[in-house]
Amino acid sequence: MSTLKKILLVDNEADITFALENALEDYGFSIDSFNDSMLALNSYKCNFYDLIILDIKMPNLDGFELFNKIKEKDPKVKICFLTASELFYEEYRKKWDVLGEILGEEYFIQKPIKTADLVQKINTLINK
Amino acid sequence: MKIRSKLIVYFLVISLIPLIIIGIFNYISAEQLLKKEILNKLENIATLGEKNTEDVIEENLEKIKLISTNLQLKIELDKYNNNIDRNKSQVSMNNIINPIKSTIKNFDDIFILDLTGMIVASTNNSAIGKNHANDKLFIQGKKLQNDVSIFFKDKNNKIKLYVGSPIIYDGKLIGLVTAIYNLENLLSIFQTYEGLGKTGEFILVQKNDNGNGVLFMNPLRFDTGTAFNLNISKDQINTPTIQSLLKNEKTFTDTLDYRGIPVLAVTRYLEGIDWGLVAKIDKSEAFTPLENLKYVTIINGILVGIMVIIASLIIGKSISNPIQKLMAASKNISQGKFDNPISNIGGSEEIKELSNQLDNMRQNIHYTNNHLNDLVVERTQKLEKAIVELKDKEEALKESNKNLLLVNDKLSLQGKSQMEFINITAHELRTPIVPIITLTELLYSIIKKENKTQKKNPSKENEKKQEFLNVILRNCYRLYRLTEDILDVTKIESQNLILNKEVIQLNEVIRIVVNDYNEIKNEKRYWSDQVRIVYEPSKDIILVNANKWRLNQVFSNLLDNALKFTKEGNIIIATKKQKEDEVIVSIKDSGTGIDPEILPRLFTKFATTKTESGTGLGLYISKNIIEAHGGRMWGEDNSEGGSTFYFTLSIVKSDKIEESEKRI
Repeated sequence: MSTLKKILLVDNEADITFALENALEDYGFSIDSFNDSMLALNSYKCNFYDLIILDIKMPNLDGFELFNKIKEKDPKVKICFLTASELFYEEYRKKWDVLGEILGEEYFIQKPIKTADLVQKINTLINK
Repeated sequence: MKIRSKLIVYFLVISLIPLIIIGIFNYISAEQLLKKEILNKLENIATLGEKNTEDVIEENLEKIKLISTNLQLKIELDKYNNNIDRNKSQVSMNNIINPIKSTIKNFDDIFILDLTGMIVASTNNSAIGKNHANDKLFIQGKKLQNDVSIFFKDKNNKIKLYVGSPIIYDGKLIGLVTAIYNLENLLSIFQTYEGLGKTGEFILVQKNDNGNGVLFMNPLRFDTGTAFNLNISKDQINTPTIQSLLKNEKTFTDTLDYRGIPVLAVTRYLEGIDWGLVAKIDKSEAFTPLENLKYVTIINGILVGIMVIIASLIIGKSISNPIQKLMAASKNISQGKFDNPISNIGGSEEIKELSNQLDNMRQNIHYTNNHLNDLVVERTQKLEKAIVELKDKEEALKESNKNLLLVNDKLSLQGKSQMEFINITAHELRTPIVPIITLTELLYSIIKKENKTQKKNPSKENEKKQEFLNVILRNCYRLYRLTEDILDVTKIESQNLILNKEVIQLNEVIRIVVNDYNEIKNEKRYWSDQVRIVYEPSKDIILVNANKWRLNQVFSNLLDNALKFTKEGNIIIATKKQKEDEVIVSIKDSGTGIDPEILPRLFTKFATTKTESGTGLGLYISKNIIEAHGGRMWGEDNSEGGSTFYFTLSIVKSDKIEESEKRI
C-alpha cells in the first residue's frame, strides 16, 4: 500500500465531520476535518492534500468561495463537493460556471451516502 | 311692488316735495306781506281816527274858548261877582251865550259858573242857581286854570263831552265856562268802519279814575252797550293791547280781543285827551287772502298729483306692457314651447333689443333642443348596442370564470394532496425512528454503564462507542423533531391546528420549563457553561387561556434558539403585564443577534442561517401557535448585542374564573 492519501474535509456540521472522519480513517485515509471554512483555508496553505471535500452551504465562506480561493493557489488541486440537495447543485452550477470550467456531476457527492460508495467515489477522483 | 306703482310713488315724491316747499315759503312770505299791509292799513285808519278825535276836541275847545274870552261876558261876570246888579248881569250873560249856542251846532247847553261853583248863567234856564262846586270838571278847571274836558253818559245813555274853560279877567280867575257837547258826531266817525271790512272796528278807551284799568268809551261793533259800561281792570286783562294802552305805547299786536277772537290790532295814545285808541280787525278776515292762497296751493298740489299719477300710469303702462309680454314669452320658453316667435312687443329701443335677443335665444334653444333630441336618440341606440355587446362579454366572462373555478378546484385539490402526501410521509418517517431511538438509547445506556464499572481504565474503544452513540442519538432526536415540526406545519397550513385551551398560570408554566432546562443542562451539555438562564416573572399571578403543551413548545423553541446563539452571558426571561388585559413574555439573549438579511423573513419557513442546526421551522410554528391564541410575536436586535423575542397573550381576569378551574 502506498502512502496514506490525505483528505481535507470541510463541513459546518460537527456531527457530519465526526462521522465521516471516523468512517474514512477506518478505510485508511488521513483526514483533516474542519467546521469552519477559514480555518480549513489556513490548513490548506500549510499542507498538501490529495483531495479536498467541501460542503456547499456554510457560513462566512461557502463551499464555492472556498473552492475559488484554493483554485487561485493551485489550479490542479482536486476538489469535490458534498451537498444535501441536488437542487443546490443545479442552482450553483448555473451561477458558478464563471469558474472557467463546468464541473461534472461526478464532483458532486449527494448526502446521505453509504460509506462504501463514498470511498469508491473518493478513490476514483484521486486516481483521475 | 309693480313698476307702475313704483313710478307713481317716485313721481309723486319728486313733484310734490318742491311744490310743498314752495307753497310753504309762499305762504309765509305772503303772511308777512299781508301782515305788513294790514298794519299799514290799521296804522292809517288809527291815525285818521286820532286826527278826527283831536280835531273835534280842538274845535270844541276853541269854541268854548270863544266864550271864555268874550270880554263882555267877563265884564258881566265880574259885575255879578262884585254884586253889581246881579240880575241884570245874569240876563246880559244869557243874552251873550244864547246866540253863541245857536251858532254852534253840537252844543247842548252852555253854563257860566262863578268861583263858588254856582251856575250863574246858562242856555238852560232850569240849571241856573244850581251848585256845581263838587263837579270834577269844576275842580280841575279851577285848579288848572286851563281847558278841561270830561266824557260822561247822560240820562238817555248818550255819551256827552263836558268841556270847561276858565274865565280870566284882569289876570284873575273869575269863573268857568262849561259846555256839554253832544258826541254823537264824533262817535259816528268811529262807527263808520270804513276800510275796516266786516269785522274791523275802533275801540276808544280811557284809563279808570284810579288808573289801573280801562273803560271802553264807544259802543262797540259787536256789543253796543259797552260804552262806559265795560270796565276792564288791569288784573283781569293781560292782553298786550291793554297793557300797551295802559303804558301809552304805540304798538301793533296779534292778540285776542274782548270777545276772545284772534285779531290784529294797532294802538294809539291820544295825548290831548289822555285816551287810548285801538284799531283792530279779525285775523280770520285779515288773512282771508292768505286762506285763499292756501286753498289755491292745495288745489294746485292735488291737480299736479293727479296729473303725475296719470302721467306715471301712462309711462308705467308703456314700460310694463312690453315687460309683461316678454314675461309671457319667456314663460313659454321655460315651459318648452318654442314655436311662438317673439315679436311686436313694442316699447322703447332697449325693450325691442331685449325682445330681439330673447327671440334669438328662443330660436337657439329650439334648435339645440331639436338637435339634442336627435343626439339622444343616436346615443341611446349606441348605448343599447353597447349593452348588448356587454351582455355577450358578460356571458363569455361567466364562462371563463366557470373554467377558472374548475381550474382552481383542481389546483386546490393538488395542493391538498401534496399537503396530505407530506403529512403521510412525516408520519411514515416517525415509524422507523421509534425503534432506532429506543434501541440506540438502550445501547448508549449499556455502554455508559460498562464504562462506569471500568471507571478506572475504560477501554478507548468503549469510550469511542459511547461518543458515537451520543452523536447518533442527537441526530435521531433531531430527525424526530423535524418530523414533528413538519406535521405541525401541515396542521398550520391546512388550518387544522387544534388548541384545547385551559386556564393556566403563565408564570408557573414558564418556571417549570426553565427548571427543566437547568436540570438537563449538566446532563446533555448542548450549551455552554458560561450561559445562565435568569427568570424574572411579574409579581402578580397571570392567568391565560391557552394550550399548555403548545405554550411549552413555543417557549422551548425560543429558549433553544437563544441557547444556540449564546456562548456566554445571561438569558433573561421575563413576564410583564403590558396592559390590563395583556401579558408580554420576553426572552433576551446576549448572543450574536439577528442577521439583518434574515430579519424581514425571520418567521417564515426555513429562514434560518447556515450556521445553526435547527429545523428552520421553529419560529414559524411558534408564531402561528401564538397567533392562534390571539397573541403577537416579534423579534428584534438589542442595541447592546444579542436579540430579544417577544410574544403576547390575553390575560383572563381572575374574578371570571372559578377556583376549581384554576390549574397550573
